[in-house]
Amino acid sequence: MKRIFPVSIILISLLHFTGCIPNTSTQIQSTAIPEIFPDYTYVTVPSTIAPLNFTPQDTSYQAVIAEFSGTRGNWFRVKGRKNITIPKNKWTELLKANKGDSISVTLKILKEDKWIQHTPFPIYISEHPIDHGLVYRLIAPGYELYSRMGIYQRDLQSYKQKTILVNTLFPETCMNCHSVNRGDPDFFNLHLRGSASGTIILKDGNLDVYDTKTPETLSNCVYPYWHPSGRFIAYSVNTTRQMFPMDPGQRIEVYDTASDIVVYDTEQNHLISSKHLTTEHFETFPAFSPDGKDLYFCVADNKDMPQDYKEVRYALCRLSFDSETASFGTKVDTLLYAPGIHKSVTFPRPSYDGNFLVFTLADYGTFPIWHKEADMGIMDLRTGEWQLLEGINSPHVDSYHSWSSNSRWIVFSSRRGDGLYTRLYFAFIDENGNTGKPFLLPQKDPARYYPETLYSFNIPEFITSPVDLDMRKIAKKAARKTNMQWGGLKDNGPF
Amino acid sequence: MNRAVRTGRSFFLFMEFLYKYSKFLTPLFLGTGVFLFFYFYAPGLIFFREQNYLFLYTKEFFLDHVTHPGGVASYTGAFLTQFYAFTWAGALIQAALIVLVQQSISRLMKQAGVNYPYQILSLLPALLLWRFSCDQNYMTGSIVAILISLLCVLVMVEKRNKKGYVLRTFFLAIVLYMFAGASFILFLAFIIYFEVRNKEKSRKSFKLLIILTGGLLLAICLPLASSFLFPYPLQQLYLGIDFYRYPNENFYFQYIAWAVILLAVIPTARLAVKNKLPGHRVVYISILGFTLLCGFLLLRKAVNPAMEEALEYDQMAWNQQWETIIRKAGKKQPSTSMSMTCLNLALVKTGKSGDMLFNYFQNGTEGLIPEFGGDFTSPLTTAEVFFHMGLINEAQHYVFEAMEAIPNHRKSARCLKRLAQTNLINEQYGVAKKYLDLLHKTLLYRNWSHNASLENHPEWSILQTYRLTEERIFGSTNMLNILKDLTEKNADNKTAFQYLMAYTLLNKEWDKATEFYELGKHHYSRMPWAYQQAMAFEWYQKSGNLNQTQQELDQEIIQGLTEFMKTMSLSSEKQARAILEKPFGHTYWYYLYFIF
Repeated sequence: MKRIFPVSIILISLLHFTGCIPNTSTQIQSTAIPEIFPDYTYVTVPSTIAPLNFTPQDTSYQAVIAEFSGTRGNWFRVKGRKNITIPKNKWTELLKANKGDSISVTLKILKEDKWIQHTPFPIYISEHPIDHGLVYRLIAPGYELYSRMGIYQRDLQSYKQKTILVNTLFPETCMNCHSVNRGDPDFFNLHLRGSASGTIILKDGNLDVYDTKTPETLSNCVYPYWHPSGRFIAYSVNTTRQMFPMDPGQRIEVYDTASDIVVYDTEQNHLISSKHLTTEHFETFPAFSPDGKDLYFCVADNKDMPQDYKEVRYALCRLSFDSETASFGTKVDTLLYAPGIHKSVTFPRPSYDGNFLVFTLADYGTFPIWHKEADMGIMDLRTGEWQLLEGINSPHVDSYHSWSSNSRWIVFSSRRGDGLYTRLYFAFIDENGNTGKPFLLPQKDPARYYPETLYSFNIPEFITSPVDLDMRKIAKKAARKTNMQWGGLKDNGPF
Repeated sequence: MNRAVRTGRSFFLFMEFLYKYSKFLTPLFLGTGVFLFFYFYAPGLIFFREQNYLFLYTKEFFLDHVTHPGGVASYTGAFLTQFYAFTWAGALIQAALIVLVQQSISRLMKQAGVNYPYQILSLLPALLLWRFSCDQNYMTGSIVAILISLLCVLVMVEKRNKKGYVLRTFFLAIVLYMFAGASFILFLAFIIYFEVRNKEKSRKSFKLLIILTGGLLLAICLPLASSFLFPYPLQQLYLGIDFYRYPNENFYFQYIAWAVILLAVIPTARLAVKNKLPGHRVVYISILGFTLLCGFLLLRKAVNPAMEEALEYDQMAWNQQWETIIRKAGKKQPSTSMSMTCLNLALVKTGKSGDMLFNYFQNGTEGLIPEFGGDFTSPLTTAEVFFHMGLINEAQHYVFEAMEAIPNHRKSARCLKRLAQTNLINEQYGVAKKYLDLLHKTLLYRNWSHNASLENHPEWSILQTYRLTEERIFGSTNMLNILKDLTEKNADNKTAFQYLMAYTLLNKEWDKATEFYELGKHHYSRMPWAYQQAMAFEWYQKSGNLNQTQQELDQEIIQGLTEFMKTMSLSSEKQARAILEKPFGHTYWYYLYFIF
C-alpha cells in the first residue's frame, strides 16, 4: 500500500500534465518571429554561455514548447508552462557541436487550446571563447545615499553568483572602482568609502589596503586601470559633485569641479603624474594601451561649475608612458575631439589586441550613466576612424563597458530594460569591428529575476578565473592602511 | 468607618478573585494592556513599523531572509509586520507576541518548580519586551526569536529523560541558530540550567558535563564558525541580525531581554518553595505590586511623545486626512518640524493656509519645506509636500533616498507606491511597472497596484501638468524661485501658490507679498488674513502710515496693525512681546517681530 501511493501520485501527475498540453499536431503557423524576454533572437553567443532561458512576452498562453536544433546536428525540445528552462547538459552539447555556426529555435505557444508555431529564429555560436566570468557591483540606482550594495562575481557558464564583498559586513560603506588587469583576478583593485574606507590592491596574491589621498592630490584615487605589467595602476583624482535636475527625464547630474590623473607605482609605493595630466583642465578616465606604452585619457576645458555644466565636453587624448623609467612623454595626441561635434567622450577602453577602443559618447559632462542619450562608439586605433556602435546602442543609456581578454567580446551596462535599472549585455566584436546583436546576461528565471530585482548592475569587468578575496582579511587590513606617497611629476619624454 | 471596612473587604475580595483566576486573568490583562497601549497611545509607531518593512510573497524575499542566522524569526517578524498597516492588527500582534512570551516563561517556571504565586514574575520579561517594543526600531522578529527559543526549551525539557536527548539538543541548537539567531544562547542557557537542576536530583554528572561543555562550545563557536559563511560582523552574529533596525546599535536590547528571562526563572526557582506558602496571598499581592511598579516605571516614558506625534502626523498626511490633522493641531500645537510640515500641508490642501498659517506656532521655512535630512523618515514628509505641489522629480528623489536610508537595507511599500506614482506621472512606464509588479507581490497593496494608472487617477494627470519641464536644477537655496515658477506655470496650482505665499511670509520677505499675491488672487473671493497682514505691514513700511493702502484691506487689519505698531513704538521689545502675545500672538506681525 505504501508503495502504491507515490506511484499513483506520479501517474496522476503525468496524466494531468499530458492532459493539459494538447497534441502538437493541431497547430497554426505564424510568420512572425516570436517576441521573447530576454530577446535572444539573432544574438551571437559564446559556446560556453549558460543556457539562455526565456519566456514569451505575451503571457496569455497555456503552455510553450521550444525546439532547439543545430545546423551541425543535435536537437532537443523543452516544454514549459511559463518559461523555457533549458537543460544545461543538452544546451552545452548543442552549442559545442555547433560552435562557429548557429542553432535554430522554434517556438510553439499554446493559446486558446491551439498551438501557434512561430518562425524559427537563429542563435549564432561564435567560435571565439568568452572569459570565465564577470565582476560587477550590485547597487540600487539611487542619488546620494545607498542601502545594501556589494561586489559580486558571476560564472558565465552557469547562473552562480558569489559575493566578493558586501556592505553587511562593512556597514555604511560604499564600494566601487573595482578593476582587474586584463581579466586576471590576481591583480585586483577595489575602493571602499565610508566607515571602512581604503583602496584594496591585490597584486600577485598579496593584499594591501591603502589610503590613496595625499596632500598633493585632489582626492582619493578612483577610476583605476592596470598597466599590463601589473606594476602600475592609473587613477584619476576628482573633486566630484552632483546636482538634481528638475527635468522629468533626468535624475542626477554628476560633475567635477577639478580632476587630474595619477599613476600608482606599486613597487615604489608612490603616485606619479605628468604636467599634462595635472593641468587646470579636467583630466579623467585613464586607460593604458595593451602594450603599456600609452595612456589614454579624457580631458575637458575648465568651466565655471556648476553653472556651465552643459558646456563641459571631454576629448579623447593619448600620452606616451615609459614603464621602465616610470615617466611620461611630453606630447599629447588628441584622438577624438568630441567637443567639436558637441559631444563628450568618456570611459575609453582599448581592446587588448590594440586594434580598437570603445568609449561612451554623451551630449555633455563626465557621467554618462545618467544621460539617456549616451551611446557607445568604437575607434579603430589602426586608422583613427570611429563610429557609433549602432548594432549595440539603444534609445536608453548604454554605458560602461569592458573587453574580454581575447578582445572578441564586450560587456556593457544599459538601462534599455526598464529605463532605470541597468542590466548587463554582451556583444561580439569581430576583427574588423563588426558587432553581433547583444544579449542579456542569462539568468535561471530571467522573467522573474529582472523585474523583481531592485539592483543595478554596475561596472562589469571580465575575469579569466574566480576572484579569491577574503572579506575578513580586508576588514582587518582596512584598520591598518598604508599611506600612498607622492612621487612627483615625471615628464621625461619624448619617447 | 463602615465605608473603610467595605472598601477593604472589596479590595480583599478583588485580590482573592485575582489570585484565584490569575492564570487566565494575567494574560488577559497583559494582552489587553498591550493592545490598548499601542492602539491608543502609539499608533504612529505601529504605522512606522509597517512603512519600513516591505514583505514580498516571493521566493527571493524568503531566501534573502532565511539564509542567514535568525532568518526564520526575522521572516516571521516581517510577515507579521505587514499587518501593522492596520493599527488594530499591529496592536493585536504586539499583544499576542508579548502574551505568548509571558505564557512560555510561566510554563518554564512551572517546569522549574516555581510556585504558583511566584509565576506572576513571568510578567517582568513581558513588560520589558513591551518597553522595548516602544522603540520604533526594535523589530518584531526579535520577539519572535525569543519566543521560538523559549518554545524549543519547553519542548526539549519535556524530553530530557528520553534517549538521544543530548544529540537532539545540540542539533536543535544549531537549527535554532539559523531560525532564531543568537537567541539560541538563551535556549542553551535554559538547557544547561535544567540539566544542573536535574543533576541535583539524579546525579548524572557525565550527561551534565557533556551538555555543559557542548553548550558552552556551541554558544561560543557557532556564531564564530558562521562568520566564515555569512558576511556580517561578529557582534551581529553573536547577538542577532535584523532584530534592531540599526544593525550596529542597541544590541544590549537582546542581552537584557535574555538576562531578565533567565533571572525571572532561575533565582525564582531557587527561592520558591515546593509547596504553597501559608501566606501565599500576601506573597502574590506583594509580587503583583512589585511587578506592576516595575511595569509602571518601565512604561512611564516608554514612548517618546515628540516622535510619536511626528509619526502620527506623517501617517495622517500620507493618508491625506487633512481635516483630522487640523483638528489634532487644534487640540495641541505640533512640536516637531515634521508635524508642522504635515499641518502646513493640511492647511494648504484645505485652502486654509492663507487664513490660519499663524494660528499655529511656526518655526520658519523648516516647518514648511524641511531641508533634506538624509534619514529615512523626514524626507518622506517633505516628499509629500513636493508631490502635492507638482515637484514630482523632487518627491521621487526624496522618497528614493528615504528608502535607501532604511538602516537595515529593507524596502518600503509606501516608498514603492510613491515611486510608482512619480514614475507614472513622469511617463517612465517601464520603471513604474517594475514597482507596481513588486507591489502586486504583496498582500495589502496588490489591489492598489492593479488599479494604479493615470486613467484611474485623474489627480495624477493634474500633477503631470504642474511639473516644471524646463531645464533647471533643484536646490533648497532657490526654493522661492521654484515656487514662483510653479505658480506662474499653472494658474490652477493653488497648492504651489499657497506654498509660495507661506514661504515668503515665513522667510520674512514681506516686501514680496503684494507681488506674489497677484499671481494667485483669482483663487480667493476675499483676501486671506495672513496675506492681508503681510500686505498691510508692507504698505506701512513703505509709506509710514495706513491711511490709504493699495489693497482692499479689512478695517480690522488696519486697526490691528496700527495698535500693534503703536505698542511696539511705546514699549521695549520684552514688554511689547508680553503685551502683544495675547491679542496678536496669532498674527504675521507677531511672528515677524518675536518668533524665530
